Amino acid sequence: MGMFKFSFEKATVHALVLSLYSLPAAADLASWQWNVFSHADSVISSDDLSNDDDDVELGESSLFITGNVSSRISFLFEATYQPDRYRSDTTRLERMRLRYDINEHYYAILGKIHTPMNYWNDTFHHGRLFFPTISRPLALDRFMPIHEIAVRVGAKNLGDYNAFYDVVIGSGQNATAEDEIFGNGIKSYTFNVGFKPLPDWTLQTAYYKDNYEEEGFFHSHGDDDHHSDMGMAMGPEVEDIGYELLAASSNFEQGNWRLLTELSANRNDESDDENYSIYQYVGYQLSDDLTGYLYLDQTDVAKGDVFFTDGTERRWGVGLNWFFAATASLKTELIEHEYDLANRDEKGVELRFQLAVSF
Amino acid sequence: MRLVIRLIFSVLLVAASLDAASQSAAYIVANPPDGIDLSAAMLEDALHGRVRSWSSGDAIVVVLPGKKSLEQDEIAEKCFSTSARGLQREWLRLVFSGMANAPVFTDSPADTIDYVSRTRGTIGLTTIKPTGEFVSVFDGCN
Repeated sequence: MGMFKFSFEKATVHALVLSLYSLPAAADLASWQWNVFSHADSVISSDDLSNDDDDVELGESSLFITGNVSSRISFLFEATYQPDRYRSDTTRLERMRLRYDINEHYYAILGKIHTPMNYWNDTFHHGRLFFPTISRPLALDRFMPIHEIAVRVGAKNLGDYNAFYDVVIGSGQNATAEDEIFGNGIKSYTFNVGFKPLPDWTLQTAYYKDNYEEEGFFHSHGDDDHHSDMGMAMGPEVEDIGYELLAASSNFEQGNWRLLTELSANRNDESDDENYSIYQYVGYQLSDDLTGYLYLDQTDVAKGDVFFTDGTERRWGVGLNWFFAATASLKTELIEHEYDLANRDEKGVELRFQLAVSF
Repeated sequence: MRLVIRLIFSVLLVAASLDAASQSAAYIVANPPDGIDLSAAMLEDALHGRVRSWSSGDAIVVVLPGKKSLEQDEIAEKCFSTSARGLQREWLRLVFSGMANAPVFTDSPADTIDYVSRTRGTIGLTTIKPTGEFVSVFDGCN
């Protein structure tokens, strides 16, 4: 059911050129912004948990472009690069979307997007500069459908409590950036709803449904190891397995405090039990440029799951996030990291550093 | 003349200092599309990136003092209770999360007023009170 003949990789340059040509006035040009975000990580571990030979690992660098094509249409583009010693596909198109604002409440988005599955995935891009912790929640590297080639329609700021919702129909996780939009039909559905009990407090929940085919994998933010997690667990004959994910988020920012909670549960048609995750962050802003925080991050996979390696993965600890310039930060964390997985049983303490910059 | 009539400057007096030695203030200057009724709450939401469109659906573009502007610190302190660095960082976060439209940065208060007066759909912050019969004054900023 090919609905559009459209390749994202081929369309990237075309879209940029068309967007620039369509800018009608200097005022629109002035509102376009592009930035490069990059980061480097270092870990000192009591045990060799990181499995890295390097003292310092260069993280992915992200090129991010956004701007208004017209008074109602905006464009967002994000691609990442990381040397081949760290991941096999050095360049990735992460997002490329057009957004049409129907009015102050309603909008529609077309393109490769981040799914609105939880607060984190809908808010943060690939640059680490604004991450509250050094790493993403474990669930984003394992359970979450991060990207979709999709159509998204939604509403925001409805009523006294600024309610919002999104409906997304997508190509599913088996689609790749090289595929036509909906070249394999509509495979996935996402529903997201939330509201703000207070202006600085967001509550939301989302449901995702997809069917994974053989050789399927998540287009997660994870590294190659995480990409292969699913493949390690599933057998070669697995085909078209229904997958459902339910997630809930709470983000509270008021005064010096910030609390972020991410919960999720998922199941599939071939497994009897559900898998769970929790990420809890509590941060206190000590000054304009310095934030202290603690967090717990855990995933639990039921025994015999066909997609994910069963067992528990947990990390928890304390950290400091220091913005030593407007667009440069140094995060330092002291954490305990525990793997109790079917294929890995390790526990240790890590002192982690991350330098993140934007220019 | 029609352009002048369409152009509505809305000015918000913020955070008047209790220190008699520093009587300066910050103002919000807006040039909304036709038929938009401005409110202090709406302006506040726009300046904090909570809304990105006018009720007509047209994009809200916020005009902020840039690095070269001498009023950057004052605007950041009075309207956002943070430093210039904090203001720049917060807006960068909003833009690159896709929550807000990219702001326009200007080098001086005069540039801000000039840009807003020329560009429909913009909201600017400045320490200089624009003059003219189409100026309105609101109380409160945060």
